[in-house]
Amino acid sequence: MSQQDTVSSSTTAFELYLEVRNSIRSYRDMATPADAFTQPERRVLSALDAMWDASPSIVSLLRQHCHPISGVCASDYHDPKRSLRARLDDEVARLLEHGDRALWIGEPAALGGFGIDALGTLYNEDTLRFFRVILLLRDAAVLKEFTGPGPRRTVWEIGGWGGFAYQFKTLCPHTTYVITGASELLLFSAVYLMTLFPSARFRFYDRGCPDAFWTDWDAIDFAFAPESVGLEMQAPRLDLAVDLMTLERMTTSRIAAHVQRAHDLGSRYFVSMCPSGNPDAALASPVIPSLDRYYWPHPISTSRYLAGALAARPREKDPVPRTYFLGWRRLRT
Amino acid sequence: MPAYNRPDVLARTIESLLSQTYRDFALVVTDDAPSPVVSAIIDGYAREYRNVIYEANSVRLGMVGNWRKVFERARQLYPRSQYFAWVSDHDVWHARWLEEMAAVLDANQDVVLAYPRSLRMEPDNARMTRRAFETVGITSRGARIRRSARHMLSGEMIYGLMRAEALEAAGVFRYVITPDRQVLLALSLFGQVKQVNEVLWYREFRRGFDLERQRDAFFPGGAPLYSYLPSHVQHFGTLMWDFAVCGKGRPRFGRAAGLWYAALQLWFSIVRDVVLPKSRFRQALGGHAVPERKQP
Repeated sequence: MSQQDTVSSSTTAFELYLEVRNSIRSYRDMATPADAFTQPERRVLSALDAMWDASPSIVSLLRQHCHPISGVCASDYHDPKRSLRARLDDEVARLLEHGDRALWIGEPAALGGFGIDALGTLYNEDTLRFFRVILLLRDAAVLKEFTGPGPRRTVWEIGGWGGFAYQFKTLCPHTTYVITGASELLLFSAVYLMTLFPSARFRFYDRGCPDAFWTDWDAIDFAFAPESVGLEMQAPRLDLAVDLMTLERMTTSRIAAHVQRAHDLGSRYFVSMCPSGNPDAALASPVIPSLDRYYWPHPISTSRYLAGALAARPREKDPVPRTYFLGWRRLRT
Repeated sequence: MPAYNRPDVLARTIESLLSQTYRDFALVVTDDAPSPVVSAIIDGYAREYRNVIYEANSVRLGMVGNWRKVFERARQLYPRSQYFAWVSDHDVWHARWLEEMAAVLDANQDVVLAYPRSLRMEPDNARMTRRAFETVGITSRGARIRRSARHMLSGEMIYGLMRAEALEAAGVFRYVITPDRQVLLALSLFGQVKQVNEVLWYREFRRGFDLERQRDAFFPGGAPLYSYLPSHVQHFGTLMWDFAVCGKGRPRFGRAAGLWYAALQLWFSIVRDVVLPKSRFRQALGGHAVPERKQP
């Protein structure tokens, strides 16, 4: 990318940022009451608060400001430690050996994308997490339903910064991808995805005409709505619900409300990256009990399979050891 | 579904079947170990889903008898249904399993059985099977039974979707050891087998293969003497009786051909045991433990 391209891309990104900020600023009034937020959630939201007044230079490096959301820090990759590099290289080699090179989507360089430069792309811890989810869906014969022909599918991601949405939509363009969550998170994901998919069709929830949000979903690629709207979602169909470390920051009642909504809307599958046991309440809430209530654990999401085929071992140093849960919908709860 | 006392996982299994994307099917359950717990689970679904039929056996029929009964009841209740599959009371099926299998049978009249790749469910682990077997494109009956005798994956294929008429002509389940293998050998005379290259069936794996347990499970009134013969000899006997003596292969093939196919089965099944490095025969000769294989 030339310097001129970079400047042009930054300018466009900042214009998109202003557009998105204008669309979702009103969501702040619709946000969950502050006392309903958990401690970890308050920490993330306060770290992201400065994004409401971001400068063009901050927006041009948007990806590097996602650290509070995913815990993956760009500075770790400027001159990566040997141990980090060795671990990620080993994991990516194992994933590619098990998986399919055609499903590998690296971290885009746009908006300050960072990571280890290998395989012709950048990749970091987030890239591998998303690739694991993609492979989990492939191994469970779920991904084909989204990549193949047939009716347009709908995916609902709860929170996130847009990284998984980018990977998924690149592989499965024939899907409508809905993201709900705190407005600070939507600010990230919308700007990121609008920059990376300039010709995609985007829709933002409009408080002035709320019903319009739910119509003609086949005609849009991405839709964004605040959490409160997501919990009353009236999607014409829902095929997959995705949570990548967002639910764990919520209270157990909000976690259950999200999972129940996905179930009520008929989402056949629910995939989550969440704490594997009972985490320290100051750091995260348990998610699996709520998932278990509405979704049968898929036979493939066992700890040994995840550790073997998907190189996903909980690390002892992690304050919150996490696992990947793929569930299929229970008929009775 | 020939059920036998698995209330611990029955609801999960039934829900995986009722979640099929292909909706035009019925689930007929014959229960060979009725209990209030099992009947409460199944009745609960039967009240909500009209395509669930539950019948408890008043007398224990044994495994072969129950597998035969569920086929017969399904044929009586749904005589116009073209396809049939046995399902266990403890495995899990992918929601697209029936859709994909039916599509194979719809698209190819020469195929009598379609089955997917499977995943072995173990406590806290899952392993995908890599083995492949099919007879698509083989038009010669002799070549099909030869290939089936040597290479087929009976434990996986027996839970595939079959053409009901072909299965009936093949004799359904017979009172022999490894009856799944026997009926699949017979079925190979009536058409081809197609394996769908997707993991759409999740198979519980708990115990290894055990002849004594098979005899107990198959013959609740006591095992007949012939059940102690080598299974290939038992299969040869049933194939010869059905197709060489009774002529059940007609009009597709005559008695002489039936005798020839039964002999081919016997010969190539023996060859399989001698040649296959992991065959139970070879391992028994070498003094090793018999490898684990799941009974149907």
